[in-house]
Amino acid sequence: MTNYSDQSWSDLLGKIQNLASNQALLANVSADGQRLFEVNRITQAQLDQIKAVTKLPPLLMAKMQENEAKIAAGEVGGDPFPHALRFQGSLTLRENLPR
Amino acid sequence: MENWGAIFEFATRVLTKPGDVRSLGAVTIVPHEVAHQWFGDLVTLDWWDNVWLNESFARWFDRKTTIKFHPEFYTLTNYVADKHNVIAADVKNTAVPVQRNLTDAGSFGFIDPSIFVYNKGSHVLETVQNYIGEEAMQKGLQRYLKDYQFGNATPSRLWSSIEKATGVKVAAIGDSYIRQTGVPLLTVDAQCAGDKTYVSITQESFPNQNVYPASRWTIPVTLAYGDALEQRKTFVFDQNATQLELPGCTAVLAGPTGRTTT
Repeated sequence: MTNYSDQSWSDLLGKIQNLASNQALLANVSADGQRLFEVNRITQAQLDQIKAVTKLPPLLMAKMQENEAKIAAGEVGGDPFPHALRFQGSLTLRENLPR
Repeated sequence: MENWGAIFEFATRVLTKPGDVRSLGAVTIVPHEVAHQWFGDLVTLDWWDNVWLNESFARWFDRKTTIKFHPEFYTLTNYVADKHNVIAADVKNTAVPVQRNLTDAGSFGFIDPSIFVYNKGSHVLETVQNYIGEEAMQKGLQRYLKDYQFGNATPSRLWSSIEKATGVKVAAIGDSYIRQTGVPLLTVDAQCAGDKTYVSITQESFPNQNVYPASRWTIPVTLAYGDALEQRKTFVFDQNATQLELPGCTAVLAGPTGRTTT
């Protein structure tokens, strides 16, 4: 997942049509934009601009939108884990992180 | 079911009635079970914790096969959508690492939640391949299968075989993704000064509700830059922040999965 400073987003979106033949790349940038918007890291205006510039062919667009609708409806993940969750590595407990 | 040399499957899941359109499952199930003949059968898991070494490889190969031979069912764009499904699941409080401690488990429910054991693991393998290249990955996996045929595998053994075959370090990359929940978020700021672009990159955990949130990953980052974003630079990023220079004044696209696409 990648976010950019405002200027870097602007520069990137001005050039990204050079990669228009790579539809997976455009889909990924568009979906990254959606994820970033969901956690308030970019504005609605930025998301609209990202989606306009990374516009996919109608069939692919429909598939991606269908997938995003599943994510928005909470239909992805969330399955219970039937075992005790144990510490897995060099992680930091949430309450110890500065906020 | 991937019994060695005797794959069993319900006929209705594989065969399509005349006139009906084949489902994605009908297309992927055969390459999935065939992949298990090597990944799961020839080399099997050391303990239930390692089941992703069976299922993620089988998922990775069934998707690669379908993308190549049946693009009408599945393309790289679908794989991108799948990655975002994984991300959505991986930031919830129900997320668990791909490689887990299942000391209490035996065989009960050891593949659940399957989105991590199957899907996320396959994206980790894709990331490793993106970083070292397809040919190197093939050599690494051939070495892995030879080293542990009729034996048992762990992630450390997988990474070790790939590293021995290719001379490229991958263990820190792989472990940081399979042993932690969540996903990294890179933030890129590229500024032009003179005839260079100065790129600052930071990493943090993408906002999440994980029980044990991670804070840092070892990430193979690929930058696309240049007038038409045609240039590439790949490096491993394992700190909280880094800076680098690129020639010319250029926009920058950063892919945190070893290439810019997925």
